[in-house]
Amino acid sequence: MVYQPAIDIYSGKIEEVILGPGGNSVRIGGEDTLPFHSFEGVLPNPPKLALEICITKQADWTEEKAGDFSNLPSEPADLAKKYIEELGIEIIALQFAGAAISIDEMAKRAIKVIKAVDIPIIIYGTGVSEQDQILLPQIAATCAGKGLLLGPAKKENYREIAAACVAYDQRVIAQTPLDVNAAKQLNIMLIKEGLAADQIVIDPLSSALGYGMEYTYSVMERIKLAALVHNDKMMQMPIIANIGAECWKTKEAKEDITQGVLWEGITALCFILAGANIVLLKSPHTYKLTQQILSKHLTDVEAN
Amino acid sequence: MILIGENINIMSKITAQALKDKDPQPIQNLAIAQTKAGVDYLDLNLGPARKNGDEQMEWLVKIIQAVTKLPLSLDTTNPIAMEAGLAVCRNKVLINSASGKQESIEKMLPLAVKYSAEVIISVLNDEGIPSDAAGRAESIMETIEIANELGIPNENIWVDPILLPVGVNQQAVVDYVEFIVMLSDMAPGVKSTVGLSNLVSGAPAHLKSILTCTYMIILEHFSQYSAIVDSFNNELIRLNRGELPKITEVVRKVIAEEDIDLARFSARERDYAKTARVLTGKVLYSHAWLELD
Repeated sequence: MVYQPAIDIYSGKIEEVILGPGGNSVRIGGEDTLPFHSFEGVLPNPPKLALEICITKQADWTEEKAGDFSNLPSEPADLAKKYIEELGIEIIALQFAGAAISIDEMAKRAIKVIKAVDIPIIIYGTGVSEQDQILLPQIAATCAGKGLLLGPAKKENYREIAAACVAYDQRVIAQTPLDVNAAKQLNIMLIKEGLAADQIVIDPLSSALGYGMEYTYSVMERIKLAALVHNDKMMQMPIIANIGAECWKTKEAKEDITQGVLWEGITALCFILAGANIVLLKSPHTYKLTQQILSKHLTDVEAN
Repeated sequence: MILIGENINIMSKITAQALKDKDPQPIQNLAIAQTKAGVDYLDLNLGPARKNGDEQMEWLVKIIQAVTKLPLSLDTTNPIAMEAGLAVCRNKVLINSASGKQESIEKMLPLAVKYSAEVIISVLNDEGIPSDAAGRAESIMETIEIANELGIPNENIWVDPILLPVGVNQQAVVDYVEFIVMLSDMAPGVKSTVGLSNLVSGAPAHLKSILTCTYMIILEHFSQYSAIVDSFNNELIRLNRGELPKITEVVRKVIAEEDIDLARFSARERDYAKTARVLTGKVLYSHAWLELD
C-alpha cells in the first residue's frame, strides 16, 4: 500500500498585516494553514520576534557565561540602534508599563526613538486604559504614516485608539483576557470604528510557562481554528504574544538569568507553535537563541 | 415541550419582598399571570431557604394553590423546606431538585418516594459538574440507579444536564444536545428539563430572548421534554405552541445543515438562522453575532 499523507485544505486565510514605514516594512500573517503546516498550505511570513525596550529604565542582562549585553546604553534610541546593529532585530517594542513619568514625557521619549530608527515599532502602552487612550493617539498623530503597531486597545478604550489608527494609518493591538468570544467581539467593534481587518493584531493575553501558559495556548489554537477551518472573518487577524514581562517576573527567571532566558525562550516557542505570528521578548539573549532556532527550522524546511 | 414558569423566585425583588411581608397578593398575581401566559408548571424557587424555609414553602404553596390549578415545581436545596411544601400540595408535584451529591441522595430522594412525587435530578455530584457528555452520563446513571433502588421509577425522573452560558462555554452548549440524545438510550423513560435562562447569563439584555427561543427550538428538535423558562416571554410561548412555523422551519434547516439563502427570509427569520448557527457551533459566539453576515 502506498502511504497517503493526510492533507487538510482550509477555507479561511489569515490577514497579512504590514508593519513599519515603506522601505523597511515587515509583514506578519498571511498564512492559509495552521502553524508549521507547510505541507498543507502556504505560510508566506515566518513568525517574527520583536525585542522590548523600556521607555524609562533598562534592565541589566549581564550574564556571566555570555558576557555580552552588559553596560547597555540607557537612552532608548541608542539601545535600539545597538540591538539593530548587533542582533539584526527587525522590530522594536517600546514598553511603557510601570513608567512613573507624565504621559507627555512618555510620548516625547517614544517619538524620539521612532525618529531615530527606521524599522517597524510596536508601542506597547502602560496597560492602564485611561493613560493609553491619551498616550497612544498622541504618538499616532505625531508619527502619521509610520505604520506603528499600537496597543493594547481594550473594551474600555478601543474607540479612542481605533480613531487615531484610522486617522493616521497605524495598526492596533486588540487585547482581551483569554476569551475567544470577547476577542471576536472586540475585533467586530474595531471594524465598526472604521479599521480594516489588516490593521488589527489579536492579543489574547499571554502567560508564562508554569503560570497558566496552557490557557493562552488553547485560546490561540481556538482562534486559528475558527479563522482557518470555519473561515470566521472576525478571527483572521494575526496574533501577538507579549511574554517578556510575564516571563521575567517568574520566580525561576529571577533566580538566574540563564534560567530566565530558557523560560522566556520555551514560552516563545510554545506560542509560536500555537499560532502566534509575532512574539515580544524582553531579553536580548532570548532573542538571539529563539531567532537561531527559528532560522534553523526555516532552513531545514526549505532544504526539504 | 413542557414549560415550567420561573418567575416566582427568591432572587426577584417582588417575590423576596412579598415573602418578607407575608403579603400574598404580589405572588398570587405572578401565579395568575403565569397561568394565563400558558406555562404548564409553576416553579416556586426559595433557593437555599436556610431561615424558616419550611414555614415559607408551606405558605407559598398554600397561597398559590388558592389561585391556580397548575402543578407546582418546588425549588429549594433545603430538604426540610421541601418536605413542608410537599405535605400541603394537592396536585401532582415536582421536586426541584435532587442531584448526585451525597446529601441530596440521603435527604432529597427519599422525599420523592414518600410523597410519590416526580423529581428533577441534575448531573451535579460531589465533584462538581462533569465537564463532558460522557462524564455527565456516568454521573447521572449512578444517581438514577440509586433512585431506582429507592423505588423511584424512571417515569418520575426528570434529568437536568445543566446548561452553561453560551458566552462562557459555547462548546458545552453544542455538546448538551449530544447528551440529550444519549439519555433516552441510556435510561429509557426518563424525562429531561433544563434551566433555559442560564444560557443567556452575561449576554446583552436585548438579545437574551432570541437566544433562548432559538435554543428551545433546537432542544425540542432533539426531543428535550421540558424547560424552565420566563413565562412572560411571549415569543417563546408562541413558538412552543407551533404558532410561528416559519421560524421553527428556518432553525430546523440550520440544524439539518441545509443550504439556505438568507436573502429569501424576513429580517426576523434571518436573525433566527444566525442565532441557530451560533448555538449549533457553526459560528463562534460574540455579542455582536446578529450584526455579521
